[in-house]
Order: sequence, then C-alpha cells, then structure tokens
Amino acid sequence: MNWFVLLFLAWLGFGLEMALAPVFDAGALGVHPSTMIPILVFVALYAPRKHVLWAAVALGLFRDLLSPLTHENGGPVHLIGPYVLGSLLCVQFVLSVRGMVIRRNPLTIGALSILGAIVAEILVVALVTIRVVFGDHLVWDASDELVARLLSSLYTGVMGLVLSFIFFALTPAFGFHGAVATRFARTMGVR
Amino acid sequence: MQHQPALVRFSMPITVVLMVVLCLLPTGWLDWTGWFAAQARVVVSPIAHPISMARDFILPQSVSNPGASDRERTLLSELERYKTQLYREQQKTARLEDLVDQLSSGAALTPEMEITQVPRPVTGTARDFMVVRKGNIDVVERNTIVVVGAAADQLCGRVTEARDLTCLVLPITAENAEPILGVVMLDETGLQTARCLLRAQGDGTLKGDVTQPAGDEREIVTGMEVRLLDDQWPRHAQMLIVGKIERVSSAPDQPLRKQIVVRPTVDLRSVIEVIFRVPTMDDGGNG
Repeated sequence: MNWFVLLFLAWLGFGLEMALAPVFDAGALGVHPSTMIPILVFVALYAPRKHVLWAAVALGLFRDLLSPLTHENGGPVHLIGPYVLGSLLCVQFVLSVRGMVIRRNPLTIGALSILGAIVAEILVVALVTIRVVFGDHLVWDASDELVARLLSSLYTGVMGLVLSFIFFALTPAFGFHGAVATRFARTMGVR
Repeated sequence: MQHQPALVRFSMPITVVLMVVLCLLPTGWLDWTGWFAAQARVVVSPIAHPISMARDFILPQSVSNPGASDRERTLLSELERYKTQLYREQQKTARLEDLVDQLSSGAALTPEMEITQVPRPVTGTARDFMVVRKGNIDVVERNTIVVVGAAADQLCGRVTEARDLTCLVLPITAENAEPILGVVMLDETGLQTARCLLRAQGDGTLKGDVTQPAGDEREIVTGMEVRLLDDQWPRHAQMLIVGKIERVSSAPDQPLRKQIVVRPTVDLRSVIEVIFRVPTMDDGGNG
C-alpha cells in the first residue's frame, strides 16, 4: 500500500472536516460527518491486515489530537487513545466482513462506514464516560453524546457514499497488492 | 513473521495497551498532549485555511442584510461602534461613581487600560473550539478576549489555549461554554436595561431568563440588543454585543418571567477572521 497517498488523502480529509464543519453541521446536536472513517473502511477493504491496523492507529491518533474535549474550567483536554482504539475496532470489524461484501460498490463503503462509525463512536463514548464516572472534570453528557454520534455515523455513511467514487478512482494510486478472499466479487490487484 | 523480533511482533498489542492506559490517565497528567495537538493543527492548517477561504467565498457571511449597499453597511457598523462607546462610557460613569466610594474608603484602584486589536485568520473548528492561526504574537494568551465583526464589537469568546503558532478559542455559543451575564438594552440611550443570564444552546444561540427592574413595564421584544455585563469577564470586554433577541417567551417554570433566545449578529462558527483584544501593558498595569 502506498502510505503517501493514504496520508495525503487523510490530510485533505481532516482539512475538509476542520474547515467545513459549520457547513456540514446538521442542527444543534453537533451532528457532522467524518471523512476518516470512510477512508479507513476503504483501506480496510483492500489493504493487508497489518497495514490497515497501523493506518487506523495513525488516523485515530490524528483525530484524537484534533478533537479536544472541554474541561469544566472551559479549557481544552486533548485525550489520546479513544479514537485510536475506536478506529482499530472499526477496521477490525471491516476486516472481519470484507470477504462477504461486494467491495467495488459505493453502497458497501456507505453501509460499512455507518456500521464502522457506530462501533468506533460507541467505544469512544464508553471510554470518556468511564473517565467522567471516575471523577474526571470534563463537560460530558453520555446520552447526548451517544445520540449525536450515532446520528453523525449515519451522516458519515452518506459522506462515505460520496467519497467512494473518489476512492475507486484513486485505487491504482494506492497500490494495493495481494488478493483478499471474497465471496461475491473478483479480487483486484493480484500480483 | 516467525523471524521478526519480539518488539515488532508485539508492537500492535503494545500500542493498544498504551492507548488504553493513555486514555484513562487523569486530566492533570495530560498537559503534554496539548503540544502534540498544536503540532497536528499546524499540519492541517495549510489545507484547512484555503478551504475556509473558499467556503467564505461561496457562502459569504453577509447574509443578514444582503440588500444593503456597502455605504449602508459602513454606516451601520459606525453606528454600532458609537453605540458601544456610549454604553461603555455610561458604564464607566457608573464605575467611577463606585470608585469614588471605594477611594473614600481607602480601596486600591486599577488604572485604565488601552486595548490593541490584532486580527488573525480562523483556520477551522475542532469540536467546540475555533482554531485560530496565531502566528508569532506573544501577547495572545489564555483568556484573551476575542471579538468579530466590522466594528469589532461582537463578542466571540475567549482564548482557552495558546500555543506557538495556533490557539483555540471557545465561542460564547459553544454548548460547553460557561453562562454569561448580559443586559438587554431596553432603549437606545442605554440607560434602561434588564439583566439576563444566558446559556449557549449549541445551535448558535443563547437562551436565558430576563430580570426586569421592579416597576419597569417596558416590553421586551425581538430585535433588542443584548450586551455583556459580567464581572467574570475583563473590564475592556464589558458592553460588547452578545447578540440580538430572536425570540421572547415566558419561562416554563415562572410564567411571569420572560425568557429570551439571543443570536449573535455574526455566525460565530463560520467567521473567517477574529480579532484579539489585547490590553496594552504599562508599568503597573495588570492586564
């Protein structure tokens, strides 16, 4: 896998998220799509397992650093870990089902983005809630966050659907090698 | 795989354990992560800022009065600036009266401060926070007041973290922002006001109850201005515009009390430039 292309795409994705959050914002709950999850889903469908896991760590780490929580004193708290673990769980889920899906189909990216985002966000909410339960002074309402993040996951699916066309066009640039066993579609990029 | 060193083979489990430990560390032990977050923002800024500019070009901010000509807009911003000055002078008069009382009882006084306004571009947002490209301005620090608008009189928020090249600003409309005390300007002179405590709703508005002075039966209507008057904020931030009343209703638990929804004159999440209000430090000045 071409790591440069992945990191460049992730850089663009994080830039889009950062700059267009007010445009994509869907209402008062803080519902907005993620570009990171569709990228990870796409990579997890094609790349070798080891590369996928490290890609999840790298992108999750970046997401953690760019998503500060709010302390009760109004200051930001940069937690490292929740999104790394969430991303790992997300790609692990995709790795486990990738043999059963039609990979070169935009709907697959969309649907897996929804499910992957739900898996990741539930873990993130659980981890931060554990901190708060044990006395961490974060401004955090678990139920509100869960609702917002589940709705965001649906939105992420729509984003995944749109982005999938770009991903498919960029597939040769990613340089995926090696066949991934699949039940319904031909493998691609077989050496 | 069998021939790889143990460290390589177990690198992923080690990473997972490390991440679990890191995400359960107490907040007090995580100050160092701020530096890494600042570097991450620096990495993303070169792409986020051009996209923000493109967004502003396609979806410009001036949608509140699209029919107004440039001259009308200039005159309106001039008017707002003079109104802010007037209200601030009135507050100053009231404060000086208090000061006379304090001096007569021997209390220390704080000298007046001059303000320097430093405009800086907004790179984007990170959850509730706005990411602002600070550059090499050393004077911007935590709790520096941030304003927006042509007349630089719309309160935006406070700096919550200032690093070498970027800083984070928590807007007053962020859901997690602290509540603020303000005054509803009941007339143009600024002599008749009603106090209100406003909390951010998360949708770009603030909501809160209004306490009208006893005997004052002036009606609170939509469109009235709300300005900051809160001891938790620095003196030079007082009487900045919080927003305009968008909706008036009765408080659900106290039907006789009015509840207002206030929307800032500018959408704080979409601004492309903010202005830092930095007190000029003199000898003996206390910022």
